[in-house]
Amino acid sequence: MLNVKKDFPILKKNIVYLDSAATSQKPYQVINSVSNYYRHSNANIHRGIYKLAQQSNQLIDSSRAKIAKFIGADPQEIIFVRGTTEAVNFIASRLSPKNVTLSVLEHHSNLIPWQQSGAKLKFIDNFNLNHNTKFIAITGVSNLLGTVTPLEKIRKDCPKALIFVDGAQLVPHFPVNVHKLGIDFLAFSGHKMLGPTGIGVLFIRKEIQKNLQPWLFGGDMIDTVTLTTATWAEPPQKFEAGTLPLAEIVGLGAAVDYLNNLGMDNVRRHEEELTDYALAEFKKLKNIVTLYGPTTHRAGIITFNVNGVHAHDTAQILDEFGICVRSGQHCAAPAVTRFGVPAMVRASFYIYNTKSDIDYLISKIPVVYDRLHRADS
Amino acid sequence: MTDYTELILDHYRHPRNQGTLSMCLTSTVTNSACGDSITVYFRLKSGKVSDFKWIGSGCAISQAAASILSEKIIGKPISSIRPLKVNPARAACASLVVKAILDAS
Repeated sequence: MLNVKKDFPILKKNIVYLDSAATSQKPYQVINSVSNYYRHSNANIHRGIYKLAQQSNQLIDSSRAKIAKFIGADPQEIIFVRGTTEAVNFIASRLSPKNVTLSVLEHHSNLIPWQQSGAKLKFIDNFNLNHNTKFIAITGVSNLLGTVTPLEKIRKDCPKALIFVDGAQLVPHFPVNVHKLGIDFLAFSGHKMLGPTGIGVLFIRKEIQKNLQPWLFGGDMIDTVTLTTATWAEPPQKFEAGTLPLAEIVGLGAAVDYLNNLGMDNVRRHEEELTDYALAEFKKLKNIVTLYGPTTHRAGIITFNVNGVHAHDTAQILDEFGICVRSGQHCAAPAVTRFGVPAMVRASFYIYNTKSDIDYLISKIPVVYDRLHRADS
Repeated sequence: MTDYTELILDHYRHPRNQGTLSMCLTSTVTNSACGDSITVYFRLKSGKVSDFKWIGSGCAISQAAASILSEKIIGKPISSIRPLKVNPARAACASLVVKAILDAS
């Protein structure tokens, strides 16, 4: 098991943080990299001749290269965006495919942009995909249930399809190689993988970039400009109008360094062990708890309700003991509704969580039940 | 400070004035984020509440808030109604019953 809690200053507070699927906590290494950037290297990139601007430029280039390597991509395939949501909006509005195939587990951010794009939406049940499927937009890991999508199988079943993967819950927790997976787009958010908020990544496969029009227009994304016309810079600049969130990019680079240092195989192993442990402990409470989602091969996300207690009440009582869990519909209302409940409680893990965090959570579940259980609710 | 005071737990476990009325003002409001739902039924006499019943489902805060309010509201004008004070994160739950009353009147 990993032992890294000491690197996370916020965890020195008297809390047990079990909401990393919403956002992760940040280690000193990331916090310092952002603050050091502002202390020592802050200057806008691309246009500066002076040394400070070049230094800043180098930091951004090196972060881009690190992030590319982290997912097995080329640096030019890495487009910086605000987060996963912005990436989906970009591709949904720019590519506007006629038909899009999605899962029923999608986070609202990988559902509503496609609804709004005017595409006809199809939903897969039992993975009834075929070789004529043209465009798939699918989550890599469900933020609601921790279900892991078999991306290799989907690629095999749909050789002609363009595949867009919402990697918000995948990239922070699993080793990922985009070219091995054979996917065309991958979106993820920095803040869920130890990095700052406001920075995300959109991987676009090189071959697709050529014919893809920019989404935002303005400074930095042009080649030549006249009063009435303009041509575009080469990717990735073509897709990155305006000043990027530079300190956040450097911070995300530091987060990738931190994760590489641990090794993504070890990250996954740590979370798998925690998840198996948590599932086994929760099963011992089966008289008072309902668990949702797969029983094996799931990401570090446990979704449950204490019987006869509303999810919000459970979360608030747990908060009285310093336990941070999320409750509600987890931006996946259609999926929650399928279970016939109004809301669920979600505990999600990351590298800094330990078995004793889970023991503490488990020990408070009967307290929640005793205080709030009402037979008819 | 806990929101789950003896008062709230008592009203949640033993809700007061649940039921329906006919020939009255009524409205149902829901909180789509958590599935809470409250329906109120009431009559006004000279601008004051003369009869009040409610039904609903949802979290302890929303249900207890409705029950507590149902005990205080008779003889009062709608304009005097205030939501139960709770943790800001739960304000939407506590004010659901107030929303329903304002919606109906």
